[in-house]
Amino acid sequence: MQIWAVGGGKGGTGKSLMSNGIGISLAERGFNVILVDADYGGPNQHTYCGIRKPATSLAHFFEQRTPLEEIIIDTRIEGLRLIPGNFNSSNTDSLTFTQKQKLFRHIKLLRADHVILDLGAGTQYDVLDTFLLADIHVAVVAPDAMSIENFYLFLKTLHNRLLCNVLSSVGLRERANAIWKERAEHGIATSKDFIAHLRTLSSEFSDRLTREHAKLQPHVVLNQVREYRQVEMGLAVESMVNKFFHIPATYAGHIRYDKNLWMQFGQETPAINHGHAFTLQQDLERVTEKILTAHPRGVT
Amino acid sequence: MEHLNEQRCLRILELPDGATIDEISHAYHLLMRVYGNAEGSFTAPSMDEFSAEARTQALNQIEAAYAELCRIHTQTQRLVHPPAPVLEAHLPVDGSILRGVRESVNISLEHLASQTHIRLDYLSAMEDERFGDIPLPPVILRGFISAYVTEVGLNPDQVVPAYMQRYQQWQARKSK
Repeated sequence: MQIWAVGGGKGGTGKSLMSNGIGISLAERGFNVILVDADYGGPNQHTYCGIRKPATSLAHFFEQRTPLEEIIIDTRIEGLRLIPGNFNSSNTDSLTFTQKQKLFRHIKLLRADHVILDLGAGTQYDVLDTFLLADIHVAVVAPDAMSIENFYLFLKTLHNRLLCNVLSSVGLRERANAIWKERAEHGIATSKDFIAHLRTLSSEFSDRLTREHAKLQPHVVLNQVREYRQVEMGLAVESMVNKFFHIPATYAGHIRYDKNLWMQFGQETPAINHGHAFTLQQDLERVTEKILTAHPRGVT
Repeated sequence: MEHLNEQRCLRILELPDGATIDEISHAYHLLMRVYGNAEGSFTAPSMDEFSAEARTQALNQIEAAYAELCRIHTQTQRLVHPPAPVLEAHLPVDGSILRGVRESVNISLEHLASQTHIRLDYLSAMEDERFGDIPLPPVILRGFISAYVTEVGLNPDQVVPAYMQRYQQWQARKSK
């Protein structure tokens, strides 16, 4: 099973649309796919799937202890099923540590070829940890300065979160905090110096960080492209992430803006599978293909 | 400055091993547009990572990598393509002579088209002196032939006037 996470920081860039499109593309290839609405504070993946009122949701899993397998519902697309988000819950703010661990454990046990996690916006720990759970990382950005700025912040925070997680796992978190506070005495000026210093403390930490960093190879998708010259922004972002953040991101392609898409929602049919959104479907298909080619493992 | 071997240069230009000179040139121009533009909407000036120093450092690295790759390619190109034959000054030059020179340096018409951005059928017509198939003003044809001869390694100052004389003779014949 491969777990995909679709995130990117800014709200409204098309993360849910992209998750939905990847889900459809994979299901059409004959894979058994489960979409998980992991936008804990603002779920609406069910609306993309053309389901107005899902009978179950993550709230059942969190509050009534219903097994995750039992809240999966079918969509109108063969091979594509959905775990609807946490709506009708009294608390959508954040998950407790135990809730999160339980959810992650159960996601890993799902029986499917591909599980797609549709993330919420922002850089809260819940969002970052869910993103890090995946094998395939997809980041959706829109071609505007605000979206791209938030994406960089997302990646930077993600990197820090990864560092904290690895430090905790080897019991170095508090020592690292103390070193950071006294960084001038240790000759540490940048986060790069900090990591280099930490690597000298423990080979276990160093090896694990290297392994975890190697897993993080985000695929950048540029959504809502209205003009051809915007496409170059995707290449620019890919380059900047590599050169300035030292994260091996790759540009997976662009999705053209569909001015009629808004009319496809709220009906009892999947929004992007009406036969109304040809360019959108084409673009989503092309991007999914590119990402799949980079992860040739296929079904495991 | 760090030592830049060919592989490191290609990585700086974000290219795989074995990239062609066309791909190198394309990548270099793209990166210069990206890093040479402090105001592009793909930067995040508020973040430390995007400081002026970081950008200058990236730019210098890109320039150095490109210069080194060009140097390496100029060296190897001499090994791949034999030097173009020297034409005697003021010798009448026609399309078939140009074709002969092009073939002697192993440059295909397709490669020439991709290098000069001139349509393949125009290049072919230029070699066959089918001037009627190039319905463009003479000044454009002059530009085309200049790009052609430069690409095959000849001196345009010597060759272009001679070739354009052929074109003028054709025009004179046509108007009779």
